[in-house]
Amino acid sequence: MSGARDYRGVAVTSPVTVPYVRRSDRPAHWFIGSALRALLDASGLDKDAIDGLAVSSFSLGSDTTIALTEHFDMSPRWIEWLPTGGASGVMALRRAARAVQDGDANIVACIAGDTAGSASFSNLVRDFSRFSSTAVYPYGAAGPNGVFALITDNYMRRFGAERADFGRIAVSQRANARGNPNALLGAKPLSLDDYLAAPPIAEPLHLFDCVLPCAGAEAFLVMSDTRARTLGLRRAHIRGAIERHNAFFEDPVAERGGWAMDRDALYAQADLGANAVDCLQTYDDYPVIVAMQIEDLGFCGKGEAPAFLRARDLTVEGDFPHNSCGGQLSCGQAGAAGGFLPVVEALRQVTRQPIGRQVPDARIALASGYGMVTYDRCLASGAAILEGAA
Amino acid sequence: MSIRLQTCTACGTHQYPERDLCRACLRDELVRTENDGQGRLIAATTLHRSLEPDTALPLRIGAVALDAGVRVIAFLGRGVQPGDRVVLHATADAEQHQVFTAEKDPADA
Repeated sequence: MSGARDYRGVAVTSPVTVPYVRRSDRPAHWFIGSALRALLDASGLDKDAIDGLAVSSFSLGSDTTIALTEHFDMSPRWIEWLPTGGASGVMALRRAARAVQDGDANIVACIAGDTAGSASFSNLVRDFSRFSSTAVYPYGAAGPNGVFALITDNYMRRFGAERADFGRIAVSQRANARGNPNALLGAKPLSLDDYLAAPPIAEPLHLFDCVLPCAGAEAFLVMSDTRARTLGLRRAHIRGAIERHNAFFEDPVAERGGWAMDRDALYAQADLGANAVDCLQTYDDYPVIVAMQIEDLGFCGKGEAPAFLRARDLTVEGDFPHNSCGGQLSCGQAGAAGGFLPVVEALRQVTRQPIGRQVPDARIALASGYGMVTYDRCLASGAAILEGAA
Repeated sequence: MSIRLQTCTACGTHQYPERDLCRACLRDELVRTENDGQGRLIAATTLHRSLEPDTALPLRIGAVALDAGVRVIAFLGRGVQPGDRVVLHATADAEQHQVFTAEKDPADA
C-alpha cells in the first residue's frame, strides 16, 4: 500500500476544450490563453481569483508556465510545469489537489494546449530526447509509429492478439465520436472492414491505429469543495490517484505499464473496485496501449484484453463505455492536450457536461494517462478515479 | 565482428544508449568494451512512412534484447524474424554514433 493521503475536500470543476483544428499558425500561447478564458467563462471567476497555474505543452518554444503568467497578467502564488505529455492530465490533477489541500493555492487552473504548424510535429519528434535522437530516429525516422509498431508486434505475438481486436477499439471510439463537434474525424464513419483495409504505416500499425496531430487545448479547475459549492459549479471528487515513472524498465519491449504496480493502491484509496467504474477514459495514442490499460488497471488479466474486447461493447451505451468522446483516435491529438483528454472527458461524464454523448448514469469514471517516449516506450503512467458530486 | 557497449568498471553493468554515469550504481567509471553483439530479436516492424523524405521505404527495423542486458533498436538483415537469435553489426554515422543491423546468428542454424 502506498500510504498516500486521500484527496478529501478537493473538487474538480469546469471542463473546457478549445476546439481542435488540423493546422494552426497561432502559437501555443493562444490556445492556452483561450483555455484560461474559457475556464473563467465556465466558472464565473475573475482572473485574479486564479492563484495557481499548472500547464503542459510541447510547443511553447523556450517558454514555460512562468512566462505565461506575464503573457496573461497573472500573479499566482503557485505554478507547475508538466512537460510529461500523455500523463500530464493526471499529474496536474494530483499536484493541484495537494496544493489546494495544503493551502498553497485556492483555485488552480490546469491547462494543456499545443499548436500544430506544418513542420511542428516532425521537429518535435527529431529532437524529442537525447536517446531518441541518437538511438531511435536514425532507424527510419518513423517517430512514435515505429516504437509503437514494435510494442504492438510483440503484444500480438505474446498474447495472440489480432488486428481486428485493436480494430474494435478504433471502431467503437469512432461510433462514440458521432455527435461530438470537436472530434475532427467524428463525421467519418469507420467500420471494421475500413479499419482492416487501411494502408500500412508501420506494420502491424495501419492508418486507423494512428492519431491525427492537431492543435487545441483541454483544461479544468481544482479548488476546495466548499468553494465549488459556493460558486454553484458542477463538481467531481477525486476518489484516488496514482502515478509511476519508468516502470518495468527491464522488460525488453513494453508489455505492461506502471498502472500494474499501483492499481491496488488506487482502488484501495478509492475504496472501490474496477467493477464500480461506470466509464473508462484511457490514453489512446495507439490501440495496444488501450489494451494494456484495460489489463493493468484490472479490468481483465494480463494478455486477456483481446478476449475482453471481443466480449464487451465499448460504445457509450455499451456494457463497457470507453473513451466516450471518441478519444484521440477520433478527436485528434492536440499535443499535450491529448494527455488531459482522459481527465477532462471523465470530468465531463460524471458532471453531466459532455460535448458529445453522455454515458447513461455515469457516476464513477477512471481516467488514465501514459506519456513520454524518450527511447522505446512511454515512461510516465498515471490514473485517477473521479466521482460526480450530487 | 563486434559492437562497443558502454560498461561500468565498478559494477559491470552494460548500458545503451550511452549515458554520462552508470545507470545502476551512478559511478563515473565508464569505459567502452567490445561486445559480441549477440541477442534475440523480440519484435519487428516494416516502416511505410518516414519523417525524412530520403528514407528508402519499405524498411524493416526491430527491437533486440542483447545477452548483455541492454535493448537496442536496429535495422534488420534479410530474413530475420522475431524470436531468432541475432548478431548485431555496427557501422558509424557522421557523428560517430554506432548504427546497428541485426543479422541471423550463423551459430543458430
